[in-house]
Amino acid sequence: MKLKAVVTITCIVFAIFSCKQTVPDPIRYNADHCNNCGMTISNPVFAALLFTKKGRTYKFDDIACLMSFKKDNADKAVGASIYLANFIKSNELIPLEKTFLIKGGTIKSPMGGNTLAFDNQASAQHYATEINAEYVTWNSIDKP
Amino acid sequence: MKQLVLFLLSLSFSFLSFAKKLEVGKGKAFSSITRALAAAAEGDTVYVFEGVYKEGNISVSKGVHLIGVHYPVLDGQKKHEILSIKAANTFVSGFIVQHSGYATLDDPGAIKVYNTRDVTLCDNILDDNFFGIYLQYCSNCVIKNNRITSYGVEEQQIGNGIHCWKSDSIQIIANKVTGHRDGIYFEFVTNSIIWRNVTTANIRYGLHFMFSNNDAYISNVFLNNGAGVAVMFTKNVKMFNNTFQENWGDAAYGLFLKEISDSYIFGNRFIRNTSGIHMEGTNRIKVEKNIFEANGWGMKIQASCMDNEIVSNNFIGNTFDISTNGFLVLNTFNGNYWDKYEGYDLDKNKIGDIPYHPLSLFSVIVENNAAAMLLFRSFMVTLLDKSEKIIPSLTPDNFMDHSPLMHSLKL
Repeated sequence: MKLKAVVTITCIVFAIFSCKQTVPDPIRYNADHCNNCGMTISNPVFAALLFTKKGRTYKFDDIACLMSFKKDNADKAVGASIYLANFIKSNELIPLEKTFLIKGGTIKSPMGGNTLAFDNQASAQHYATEINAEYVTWNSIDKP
Repeated sequence: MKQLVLFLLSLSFSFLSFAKKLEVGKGKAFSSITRALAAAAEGDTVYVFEGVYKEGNISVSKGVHLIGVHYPVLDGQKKHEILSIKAANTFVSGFIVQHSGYATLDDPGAIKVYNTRDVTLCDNILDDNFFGIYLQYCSNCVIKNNRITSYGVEEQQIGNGIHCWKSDSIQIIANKVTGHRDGIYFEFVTNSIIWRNVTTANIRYGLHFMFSNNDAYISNVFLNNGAGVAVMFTKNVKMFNNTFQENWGDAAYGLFLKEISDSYIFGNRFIRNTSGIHMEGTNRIKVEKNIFEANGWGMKIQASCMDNEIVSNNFIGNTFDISTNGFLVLNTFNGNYWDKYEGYDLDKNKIGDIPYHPLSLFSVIVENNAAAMLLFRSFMVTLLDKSEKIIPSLTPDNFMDHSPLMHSLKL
């Protein structure tokens, strides 16, 4: 009986201390604030987030804010994963590795990042020609 | 002499007669506004009589006066940008403009003004639109007495009430904006004035400035918005006699200053906000003769601010008057009234004889650890605050008002 209680308590303790988050928190539009510029995140098209190794989520209203935050908080950025809003599917965030990016043209984002992300190359190219934007890679825009 | 006057009079009448009057409506010469505009010449007046006009996008490419009689309705059926103004000297007044289209990239507005000047939009009622009035690359425009309402909710995209982008010398006067993302939004707008507007219940900000220098906003009311006003990345902004009220919520504020310099905040009222003013990276600002009443924090001054002067303000009934997250004191406080001041005035000059430390120990602790708020008003915290007042240890000892007033200023 006593052993059972000890085992249960140990399990609970382990459960509590091991509950690191494995997926980032969702962004609540018009409620959450950008962790870099402080503005309320209101345009789902340009949102981005940084999900750290420790399981914390940092939310941004623009890719430019994400980059600036990454630069200022290099310790948090180590091993963190980046998610960007999918332009063609509202309120969906896609991991950076799976994105296709376009920049410039008539895109006007809240903090001047002016970048859109897509989950497939065909629609990225389609929109790039439609709004006169440029097809870019993450490495070309993420300058240290 | 008399002949000359007569001659001049007749001359002026002959000029007047060049401007035609065109009428649109049931039983009038034109049945559609688009057709009337096609027939009109520069300087003509088009009267639109009551009725509902669903003409898709109406483009104004000549400087005409477009006047609604008994509020005719222009309906975009949620598909179109309703009125696109592309000509100088256009005047639009007396319309109900409703149900504009919605798009994520090209920002359709109920009334959008493109690359022109001297446009006046007044006495219109805008209802249920994506963007209300949208100006881009414009100058010398007047937006006056419009009532702009939308029904934005959280988790859904909505445009701004009055949106100005890369414009100059704009006057925004006496409009009412409700339920949009930002009530009034300025990006790259210079030499403009925002006067006597009321913005309520907008989702993000009542008024939002980005990269907009040399502007003034005077005698506006910002009530119950997501946050009151945000002034960001800007210099030379004058903020006079505004009311910032009831902006409640986590990280909400009456006025948010970020990366702004050389500005003047005078005679405003900050009432019942989570924080009255929140400053980050703010330099050389004078905050004078304002009232801070019943806020959670009167002012939050981040360590990145310097050379700001806070003089002759009333701080009444705030939970915390001032809070900061640093130790360096680079801002000056002088001649304010603090209702928490417990000093005395032996020489009867109405100025307290000992300085006031507006920064309480607990406000510093809460700034670094928000959860500590649980202990607020507990016996220990009160005791700590008292001892800190006598022997400052955790709060910077030179953070003080040297001449606190004994009585509140009549503002």
